[in-house]
Amino acid sequence: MLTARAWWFLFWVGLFALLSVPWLAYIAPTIAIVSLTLLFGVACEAILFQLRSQNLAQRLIVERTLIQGERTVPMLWVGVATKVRVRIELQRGMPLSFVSFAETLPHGVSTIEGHRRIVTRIAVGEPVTIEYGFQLPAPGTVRFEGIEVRVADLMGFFYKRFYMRLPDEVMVLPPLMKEEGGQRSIKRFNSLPPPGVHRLKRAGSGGELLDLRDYRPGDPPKMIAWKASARRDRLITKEFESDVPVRCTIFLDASAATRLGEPGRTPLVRMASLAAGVAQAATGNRDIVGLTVFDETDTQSTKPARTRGHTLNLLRILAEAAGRSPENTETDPKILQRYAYSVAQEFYPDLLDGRWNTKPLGMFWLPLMDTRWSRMLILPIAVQAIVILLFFPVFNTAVDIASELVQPRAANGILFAAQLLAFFAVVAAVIFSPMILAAFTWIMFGLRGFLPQRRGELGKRKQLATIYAMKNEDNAAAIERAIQDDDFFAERTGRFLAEHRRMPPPKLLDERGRNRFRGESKLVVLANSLQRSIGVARDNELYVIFLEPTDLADHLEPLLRGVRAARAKHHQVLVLLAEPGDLPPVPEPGQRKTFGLNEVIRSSLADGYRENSERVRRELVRAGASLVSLDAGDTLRAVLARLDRLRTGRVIR
Amino acid sequence: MSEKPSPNDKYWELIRLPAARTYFFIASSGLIAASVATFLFSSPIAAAVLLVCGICSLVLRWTAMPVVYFLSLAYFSFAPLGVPEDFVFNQIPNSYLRVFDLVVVGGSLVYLFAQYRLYSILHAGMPFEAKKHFLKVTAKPPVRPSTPLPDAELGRFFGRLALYLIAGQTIWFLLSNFRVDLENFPPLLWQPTSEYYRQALEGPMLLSEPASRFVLFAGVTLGVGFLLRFGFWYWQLHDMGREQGELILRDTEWRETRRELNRQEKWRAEALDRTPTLARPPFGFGSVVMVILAPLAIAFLAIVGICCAGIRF
Repeated sequence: MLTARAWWFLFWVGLFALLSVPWLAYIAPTIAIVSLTLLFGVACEAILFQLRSQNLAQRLIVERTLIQGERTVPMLWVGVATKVRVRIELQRGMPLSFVSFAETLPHGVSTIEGHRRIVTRIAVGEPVTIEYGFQLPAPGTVRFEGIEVRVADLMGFFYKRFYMRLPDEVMVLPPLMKEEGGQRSIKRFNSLPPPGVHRLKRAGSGGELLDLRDYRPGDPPKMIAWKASARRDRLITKEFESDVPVRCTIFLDASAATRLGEPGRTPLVRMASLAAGVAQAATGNRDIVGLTVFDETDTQSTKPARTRGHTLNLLRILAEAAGRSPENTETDPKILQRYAYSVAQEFYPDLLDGRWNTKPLGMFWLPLMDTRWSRMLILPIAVQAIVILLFFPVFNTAVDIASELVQPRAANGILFAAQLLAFFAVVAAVIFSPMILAAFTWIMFGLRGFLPQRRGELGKRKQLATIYAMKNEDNAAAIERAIQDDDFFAERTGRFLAEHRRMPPPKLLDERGRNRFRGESKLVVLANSLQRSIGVARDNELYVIFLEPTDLADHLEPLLRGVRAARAKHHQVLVLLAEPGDLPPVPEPGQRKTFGLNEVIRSSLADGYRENSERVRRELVRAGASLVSLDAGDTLRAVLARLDRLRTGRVIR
Repeated sequence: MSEKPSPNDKYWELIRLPAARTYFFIASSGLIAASVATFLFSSPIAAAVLLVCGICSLVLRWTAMPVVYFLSLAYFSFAPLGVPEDFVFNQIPNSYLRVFDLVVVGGSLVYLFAQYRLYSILHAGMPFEAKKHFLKVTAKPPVRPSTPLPDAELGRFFGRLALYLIAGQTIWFLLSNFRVDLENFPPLLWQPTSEYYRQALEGPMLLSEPASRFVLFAGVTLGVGFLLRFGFWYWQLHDMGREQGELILRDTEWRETRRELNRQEKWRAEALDRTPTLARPPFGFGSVVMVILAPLAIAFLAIVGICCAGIRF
């Protein structure tokens, strides 16, 4: 509560008060009176400050409003200017003359206008408002944590900080695309089919000519091509294309590998944005759109439909997928604890208070008997002690030594008693010396727990464990388990950090030096989902697969089987391969003259990635899929153009 | 492109910012009053030193200067000319409500309190939360907005200072006139007579004047402090938030059952054959040194010492 300024001031004033009130006042009473007056003044200021700031968190009402387009919204849209308005009101109590409110910005968001911090005065009936604006660059979810409140007196002597937790997870939906239906306005065919109907290059009742063939009995006369029949001197019948609706199913890869990278710029966010564009464009074309989000273990499917509500639902699912947290790969509890404790200091300072979240001294004691080595150490000492006790000559030796050192023959009674006591103490020390050594060992081992580094770490772990237990509504056993069990603590800490979007940097390689995020199992999940979708498919299906292909070239077989099955049933498959955002460009021949170690490693990794990607591409094309690389920039238009061609049944590779 | 601010802006802020200007003039007036009183009643050197301290703190914003001012005031109270000389002993019970004290204490009070408020506006109103090496070089601590002061603020400021001034004199008056006598109940005497002194000095229970003032000062400070602390603690518990309450319940439950839970966890860990953890560190080289070698070395030295020195009673 006291600032450094106050400590210095009070130290000197208090020291002089203590010296001058009893003694120095005889020489100079002025200084005693000055000291007393200043001490009294500071004490009154302290009481006033305490009265104003005590339990302030319970007296403040905070409301957060999100505004887009002059309207309050429950969820946000990408690319639209967003305004956040936080209204803080003092419900009761004395006014505060110097208080700072600061809203914590969501992770990965930066302010573009206004200030999220305000230093002001607050009183009952005089609410304070913070207004700031930002623009969200990517879909997903953003988490607003709350308001940091700092209170000080006008002299800067007393200070309090606490955090008003006001967690709010808000969904950020992908942008509404303007490209919807844009492709269809270009006249490329004789007749423009009505919305939702596409030309299929199979014989049907469409308006576009597909082929000419020999007349078969039963063909309607109006289908006879008279000019061609006249030229060939036999009856020729016209065949027209089919007009069918297209069902577009989007598969989105949301595996751990896609969640790596800077927040808002991960491959998953890019793929989700493009998938949202594809879904909206398809809906604009009156196509039926479905969505499957898959990862290494599971899928989340939405049946194809066409309604506006369904489209919004798809956007919501895509936003949820884009907002998935990166996977925690850190298992070292010490590293996790370092991150978690700083998060707790920021958001839970009141719950780290030693008055509520205690650290009793006993918890730092290290019991010797917990270790197996210690038992081996204690056993021979105990055996030795028993042996000494059993053999009588040891007593004689002890008495001899004691007699040599202490001879109780003093005349004074008290001194004689002391000498006698010392005599028996020496006898006991000789006989029980192994035991004494064991006790000393036990004490030394136990006291090691109080060494500063371990004490600090264990104390922090206990405080974090109590906060986890409170948040997860666990009982006290969970606290002790988190203290004793590293794995349990690491799991809880990972969950805590994921909740607050503060993950430690991921470890990209496993113990054997392989890519930890290659996720080959996701291909099996994807292939199974694709097979299920083919099983219930109709005539004209379009599968759009967003895939992150790193290190998957050797595991493509399940997916290739699925693609072949789809192509065998005349469905179209478009695979969009996401490239990492930080992939360096291919250098021109002779461009690289100097090589640093970092550059060599980086280019080697990039080359490995390209080689793998090329193999994936080759295999998929061989299986009959169309490919688009999501390398950089806005490729939505290119994707839509490719889709439009695929809808018509013309395969362009 | 805006112009680079001139370093002289630091000094002009004192005049330019409304709140800073107000407290600058208040602090200056308090400083001048205390210095003039010191000049008239004590010595010109003391007055000059106080004035220099005040100017350094007001204009140059040296943050240690208010404390230096107080230390200078204390020093020159004992040695007005700067060099300790023959001291004149005062009659303590009659040393209240003197004009010099009133002016010096009042001036110092006004100067110090206004000076610290000025620091809150210009220098730092709240401390940094982060450690220094985590901060940017250009980071500045939050300061109080230098908008014009509310109308009531100055009235409250001077009202409080007047109260503190009167309270300081009253406390000194009470401290210097009460005596602690442990033979009576309540153990306080108001201005004991010289006859009483003669009788009481023979007994051990009447404290001397300095000891009496010290006991009264320390006792009242601790007693009032304890009561206030207790009151605020109870208030805190009474108005506690839900999360704090839940945390306290869990923490208390853990403290009460800690030993049993600890034992369960150890059994569980043994059953799972887990590797050592933070709570159960490995029995490593450090343990060997501290736990085995150190006691053995001590025992060896003790035996050698006993044998060689031939300790005898």
